[in-house]
Amino acid sequence: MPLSFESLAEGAELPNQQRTPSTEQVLAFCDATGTRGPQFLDPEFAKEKMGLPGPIIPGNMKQGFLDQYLRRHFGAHAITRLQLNHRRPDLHNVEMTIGGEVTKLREEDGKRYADLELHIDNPQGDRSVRGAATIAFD
Amino acid sequence: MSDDESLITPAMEAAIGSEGTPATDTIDAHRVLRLMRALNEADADLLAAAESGDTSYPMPTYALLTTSTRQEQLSVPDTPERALMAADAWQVSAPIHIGDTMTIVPRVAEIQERIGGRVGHSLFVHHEWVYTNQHGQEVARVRRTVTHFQQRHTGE
Repeated sequence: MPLSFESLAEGAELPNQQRTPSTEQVLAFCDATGTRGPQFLDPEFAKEKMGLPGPIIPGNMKQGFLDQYLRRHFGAHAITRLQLNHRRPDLHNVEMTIGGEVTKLREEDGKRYADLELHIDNPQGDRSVRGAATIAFD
Repeated sequence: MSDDESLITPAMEAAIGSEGTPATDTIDAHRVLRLMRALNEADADLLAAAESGDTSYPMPTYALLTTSTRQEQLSVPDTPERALMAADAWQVSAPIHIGDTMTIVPRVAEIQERIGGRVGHSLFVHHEWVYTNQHGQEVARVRRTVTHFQQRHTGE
Protein backbone atom coordinates (compact mmCIF):
# COMPACT_ATOMS: atom_id res chain seq x y z
CA MET A 1 0.00 0.00 0.00
CA PRO A 2 1.62 3.31 -1.03
CA LEU A 3 2.34 5.82 1.71
CA SER A 4 0.01 8.82 1.81
CA PHE A 5 1.10 12.37 2.57
CA GLU A 6 -0.90 12.23 5.82
CA SER A 7 0.98 9.14 6.98
CA LEU A 8 4.38 10.84 6.72
CA ALA A 9 6.26 12.72 9.41
CA GLU A 10 9.43 14.72 9.15
CA GLY A 11 12.34 12.62 10.38
CA ALA A 12 10.55 9.33 9.72
CA GLU A 13 12.73 6.66 8.16
CA LEU A 14 11.64 4.65 5.15
CA PRO A 15 12.13 0.89 5.31
CA ASN A 16 15.41 -0.45 3.98
CA GLN A 17 15.53 -2.57 0.86
CA GLN A 18 18.36 -4.87 -0.21
CA ARG A 19 19.45 -5.29 -3.82
CA THR A 20 22.28 -7.46 -5.12
CA PRO A 21 22.77 -6.75 -8.82
CA SER A 22 24.42 -9.63 -10.64
CA THR A 23 26.83 -9.38 -13.54
CA GLU A 24 24.05 -10.71 -15.80
CA GLN A 25 21.78 -7.88 -14.64
CA VAL A 26 24.46 -5.28 -15.29
CA LEU A 27 24.97 -6.72 -18.76
CA ALA A 28 21.21 -6.63 -19.43
CA PHE A 29 21.03 -3.07 -18.13
CA CYS A 30 23.92 -1.93 -20.35
CA ASP A 31 22.26 -3.63 -23.35
CA ALA A 32 18.86 -2.05 -22.65
CA THR A 33 20.20 1.47 -22.13
CA GLY A 34 23.20 1.51 -24.43
CA THR A 35 25.42 2.21 -21.43
CA ARG A 36 29.03 1.84 -22.50
CA GLY A 37 32.17 1.69 -20.43
CA PRO A 38 34.60 -1.18 -19.82
CA GLN A 39 34.65 -0.32 -16.10
CA PHE A 40 31.15 -1.84 -15.89
CA LEU A 41 31.95 -5.24 -17.37
CA ASP A 42 35.68 -5.78 -17.85
CA PRO A 43 37.42 -6.90 -14.62
CA GLU A 44 40.90 -6.34 -16.02
CA PHE A 45 40.14 -2.82 -17.22
CA ALA A 46 38.44 -1.91 -13.94
CA LYS A 47 41.43 -3.11 -11.92
CA GLU A 48 44.39 -2.21 -14.12
CA LYS A 49 43.26 0.99 -15.76
CA MET A 50 40.88 2.46 -13.22
CA GLY A 51 42.31 1.16 -9.95
CA LEU A 52 38.89 -0.22 -8.95
CA PRO A 53 38.42 -3.51 -7.03
CA GLY A 54 36.41 -4.95 -9.92
CA PRO A 55 33.72 -4.03 -12.44
CA ILE A 56 31.22 -1.61 -10.98
CA ILE A 57 27.49 -0.95 -11.11
CA PRO A 58 26.65 1.90 -13.54
CA GLY A 59 25.53 5.04 -11.72
CA ASN A 60 22.37 5.27 -13.81
CA MET A 61 21.47 1.69 -12.83
CA LYS A 62 21.51 2.79 -9.18
CA GLN A 63 19.33 5.69 -10.27
CA GLY A 64 16.88 3.09 -11.59
CA PHE A 65 16.98 1.22 -8.26
CA LEU A 66 16.21 4.41 -6.34
CA ASP A 67 13.37 5.22 -8.73
CA GLN A 68 11.93 1.74 -8.07
CA TYR A 69 12.43 2.17 -4.32
CA LEU A 70 10.46 5.43 -4.37
CA ARG A 71 7.61 4.02 -6.46
CA ARG A 72 7.44 1.03 -4.15
CA HIS A 73 6.77 3.37 -1.21
CA PHE A 74 4.86 6.16 -2.91
CA GLY A 75 3.07 4.40 -5.76
CA ALA A 76 1.92 6.57 -8.59
CA HIS A 77 2.73 9.85 -6.83
CA ALA A 78 5.05 11.80 -9.06
CA ILE A 79 8.77 11.86 -8.45
CA THR A 80 9.61 15.42 -9.44
CA ARG A 81 13.25 15.37 -8.39
CA LEU A 82 15.79 12.62 -7.95
CA GLN A 83 19.41 13.45 -7.22
CA LEU A 84 22.30 11.10 -6.58
CA ASN A 85 25.85 11.81 -5.51
CA HIS A 86 28.01 8.81 -6.29
CA ARG A 87 30.53 8.64 -3.47
CA ARG A 88 31.91 5.14 -3.84
CA PRO A 89 31.68 2.46 -6.51
CA ASP A 90 29.39 -0.53 -5.88
CA LEU A 91 30.53 -3.91 -7.16
CA HIS A 92 28.67 -6.69 -8.96
CA ASN A 93 27.12 -9.44 -6.83
CA VAL A 94 27.53 -7.40 -3.63
CA GLU A 95 24.50 -6.47 -1.55
CA MET A 96 23.44 -2.83 -1.44
CA THR A 97 21.09 -1.44 1.19
CA ILE A 98 18.76 1.30 0.00
CA GLY A 99 17.10 3.54 2.56
CA GLY A 100 15.72 6.99 3.10
CA GLU A 101 14.24 9.54 5.43
CA VAL A 102 11.55 12.21 5.17
CA THR A 103 13.27 15.57 5.61
CA LYS A 104 10.48 18.04 4.92
CA LEU A 105 6.75 18.09 4.26
CA ARG A 106 5.45 21.22 2.57
CA GLU A 107 2.64 22.78 0.59
CA GLU A 108 3.19 25.09 -2.33
CA ASP A 109 0.52 26.55 -4.61
CA GLY A 110 -2.01 24.08 -3.28
CA LYS A 111 0.20 21.05 -3.94
CA ARG A 112 1.77 18.89 -1.28
CA TYR A 113 5.35 17.72 -1.44
CA ALA A 114 7.61 15.43 0.55
CA ASP A 115 11.35 16.02 0.41
CA LEU A 116 13.46 12.97 1.13
CA GLU A 117 17.05 12.01 1.73
CA LEU A 118 18.08 8.74 0.16
CA HIS A 119 21.12 6.54 0.43
CA ILE A 120 22.75 3.36 -0.73
CA ASP A 121 25.13 1.62 1.68
CA ASN A 122 27.58 -1.18 0.96
CA PRO A 123 28.00 -4.20 3.29
CA GLN A 124 30.80 -2.39 5.16
CA GLY A 125 28.27 0.30 6.06
CA ASP A 126 29.93 2.85 3.80
CA ARG A 127 27.62 5.18 1.97
CA SER A 128 28.12 4.69 -1.75
CA VAL A 129 25.32 7.03 -2.80
CA ARG A 130 23.82 10.03 -1.07
CA GLY A 131 20.65 11.18 -2.73
CA ALA A 132 17.61 13.34 -2.43
CA ALA A 133 14.15 13.28 -3.94
CA THR A 134 10.90 15.15 -3.98
CA ILE A 135 7.52 13.45 -4.25
CA ALA A 136 4.47 15.45 -5.38
CA PHE A 137 1.14 14.23 -3.96
CA ASP A 138 -2.15 14.71 -5.80
CA MET B 1 51.59 19.42 -13.46
CA SER B 2 51.59 20.74 -9.91
CA ASP B 3 48.44 20.67 -7.79
CA ASP B 4 48.45 24.47 -7.78
CA GLU B 5 48.04 24.66 -11.52
CA SER B 6 44.45 24.84 -12.73
CA LEU B 7 43.25 22.00 -14.94
CA ILE B 8 40.71 24.31 -16.56
CA THR B 9 42.05 25.47 -19.91
CA PRO B 10 40.73 28.33 -22.07
CA ALA B 11 39.26 25.74 -24.45
CA MET B 12 37.32 24.21 -21.57
CA GLU B 13 36.05 27.60 -20.48
CA ALA B 14 34.88 28.24 -24.02
CA ALA B 15 32.91 24.99 -23.97
CA ILE B 16 30.79 26.04 -20.96
CA GLY B 17 27.27 26.82 -22.08
CA SER B 18 27.68 25.23 -25.50
CA GLU B 19 24.70 23.28 -26.83
CA GLY B 20 24.81 20.25 -29.10
CA THR B 21 22.52 19.21 -31.90
CA PRO B 22 19.02 18.23 -30.71
CA ALA B 23 18.30 14.50 -31.05
CA THR B 24 14.95 12.75 -31.05
CA ASP B 25 13.97 9.37 -29.68
CA THR B 26 10.77 7.53 -28.87
CA ILE B 27 9.94 5.86 -25.58
CA ASP B 28 9.78 2.38 -27.03
CA ALA B 29 7.78 -0.35 -25.27
CA HIS B 30 10.23 -3.10 -26.17
CA ARG B 31 13.25 -1.20 -24.82
CA VAL B 32 11.38 -0.13 -21.68
CA LEU B 33 10.39 -3.74 -21.05
CA ARG B 34 13.99 -4.93 -21.47
CA LEU B 35 15.09 -2.29 -18.98
CA MET B 36 12.36 -3.27 -16.53
CA ARG B 37 13.54 -6.87 -16.69
CA ALA B 38 17.18 -5.81 -16.17
CA LEU B 39 16.10 -3.93 -13.04
CA ASN B 40 13.98 -6.90 -11.83
CA GLU B 41 10.89 -4.71 -11.88
CA ALA B 42 8.28 -6.16 -9.50
CA ASP B 43 5.33 -3.87 -10.29
CA ALA B 44 2.97 -6.20 -12.17
CA ASP B 45 0.73 -3.39 -13.44
CA LEU B 46 3.69 -1.51 -14.83
CA LEU B 47 5.06 -4.61 -16.52
CA ALA B 48 1.65 -5.34 -18.02
CA ALA B 49 1.37 -1.77 -19.34
CA ALA B 50 4.78 -2.01 -20.99
CA GLU B 51 4.03 -5.46 -22.40
CA SER B 52 0.79 -4.27 -23.97
CA GLY B 53 2.30 -0.98 -25.17
CA ASP B 54 -0.28 1.02 -23.19
CA THR B 55 0.36 4.65 -24.18
CA SER B 56 -1.74 6.08 -21.35
CA TYR B 57 -0.05 4.43 -18.38
CA PRO B 58 2.57 6.69 -16.70
CA MET B 59 6.00 5.17 -17.04
CA PRO B 60 8.66 5.47 -14.34
CA THR B 61 11.27 8.19 -14.72
CA TYR B 62 13.88 5.53 -15.42
CA ALA B 63 12.19 4.91 -18.79
CA LEU B 64 14.20 7.93 -19.96
CA LEU B 65 17.33 5.80 -19.58
CA THR B 66 16.24 3.90 -22.71
CA THR B 67 17.06 7.04 -24.68
CA SER B 68 20.62 7.14 -23.34
CA THR B 69 22.17 6.45 -26.73
CA ARG B 70 20.51 9.61 -28.08
CA GLN B 71 21.60 11.55 -25.02
CA GLU B 72 24.83 12.82 -26.52
CA GLN B 73 27.45 13.76 -23.96
CA LEU B 74 29.30 16.69 -25.47
CA SER B 75 33.05 16.29 -25.47
CA VAL B 76 34.98 18.85 -23.51
CA PRO B 77 38.53 19.53 -24.73
CA ASP B 78 41.58 18.81 -22.59
CA THR B 79 39.81 16.73 -19.92
CA PRO B 80 41.82 13.81 -18.43
CA GLU B 81 40.85 10.46 -19.91
CA ARG B 82 39.98 8.69 -16.63
CA ALA B 83 36.42 9.52 -15.73
CA LEU B 84 33.65 8.36 -13.40
CA MET B 85 30.10 9.54 -12.94
CA ALA B 86 29.94 11.68 -9.80
CA ALA B 87 26.31 12.75 -9.63
CA ASP B 88 22.97 12.54 -11.41
CA ALA B 89 20.01 14.84 -10.99
CA TRP B 90 16.62 14.53 -12.64
CA GLN B 91 14.03 17.28 -12.49
CA VAL B 92 10.82 15.81 -13.87
CA SER B 93 7.98 18.14 -14.80
CA ALA B 94 5.59 16.02 -16.89
CA PRO B 95 4.56 12.37 -17.16
CA ILE B 96 6.37 9.97 -19.47
CA HIS B 97 4.41 7.56 -21.68
CA ILE B 98 5.24 4.82 -24.12
CA GLY B 99 5.18 6.27 -27.63
CA ASP B 100 6.26 9.75 -26.52
CA THR B 101 8.74 11.32 -28.91
CA MET B 102 11.39 13.19 -27.00
CA THR B 103 13.63 15.92 -28.32
CA ILE B 104 16.84 15.94 -26.32
CA VAL B 105 19.11 18.97 -26.26
CA PRO B 106 22.57 18.49 -24.73
CA ARG B 107 24.55 21.27 -23.08
CA VAL B 108 27.77 21.68 -21.11
CA ALA B 109 26.36 23.41 -18.06
CA GLU B 110 29.38 24.03 -15.88
CA ILE B 111 32.95 22.95 -15.11
CA GLN B 112 34.53 23.01 -11.66
CA GLU B 113 37.75 21.65 -10.27
CA ARG B 114 38.66 20.07 -6.99
CA ILE B 115 42.05 19.69 -5.38
CA GLY B 116 42.40 16.62 -3.16
CA GLY B 117 39.82 13.91 -2.54
CA ARG B 118 39.83 10.24 -3.50
CA VAL B 119 41.02 10.85 -7.03
CA GLY B 120 43.35 13.78 -6.42
CA HIS B 121 43.17 16.96 -8.45
CA SER B 122 40.11 16.51 -10.61
CA LEU B 123 37.57 18.20 -12.81
CA PHE B 124 33.80 18.08 -12.43
CA VAL B 125 32.05 18.52 -15.75
CA HIS B 126 28.31 19.14 -15.45
CA HIS B 127 26.39 17.96 -18.52
CA GLU B 128 22.71 18.76 -18.95
CA TRP B 129 20.01 17.42 -21.25
CA VAL B 130 16.58 18.96 -21.65
CA TYR B 131 13.82 16.56 -22.72
CA THR B 132 10.78 17.97 -24.52
CA ASN B 133 7.89 15.79 -25.69
CA GLN B 134 5.95 15.85 -28.97
CA HIS B 135 3.54 18.44 -27.50
CA GLY B 136 6.40 20.88 -26.89
CA GLN B 137 6.15 20.29 -23.14
CA GLU B 138 9.35 20.08 -21.13
CA VAL B 139 9.39 16.67 -19.50
CA ALA B 140 12.73 16.55 -17.73
CA ARG B 141 16.08 18.16 -17.14
CA VAL B 142 18.78 15.59 -16.59
CA ARG B 143 22.07 16.76 -15.16
CA ARG B 144 25.09 14.50 -14.89
CA THR B 145 28.38 15.36 -13.23
CA VAL B 146 31.40 13.48 -14.51
CA THR B 147 34.68 13.54 -12.57
CA HIS B 148 37.78 13.49 -14.75
CA PHE B 149 40.98 12.59 -12.96
CA GLN B 150 44.63 11.85 -13.68
CA GLN B 151 45.66 9.41 -10.97
CA ARG B 152 44.18 5.98 -10.30
CA HIS B 153 41.07 5.69 -8.13
CA THR B 154 41.75 4.51 -4.57
CA GLY B 155 38.87 2.03 -4.93
CA GLU B 156 37.20 3.37 -1.81
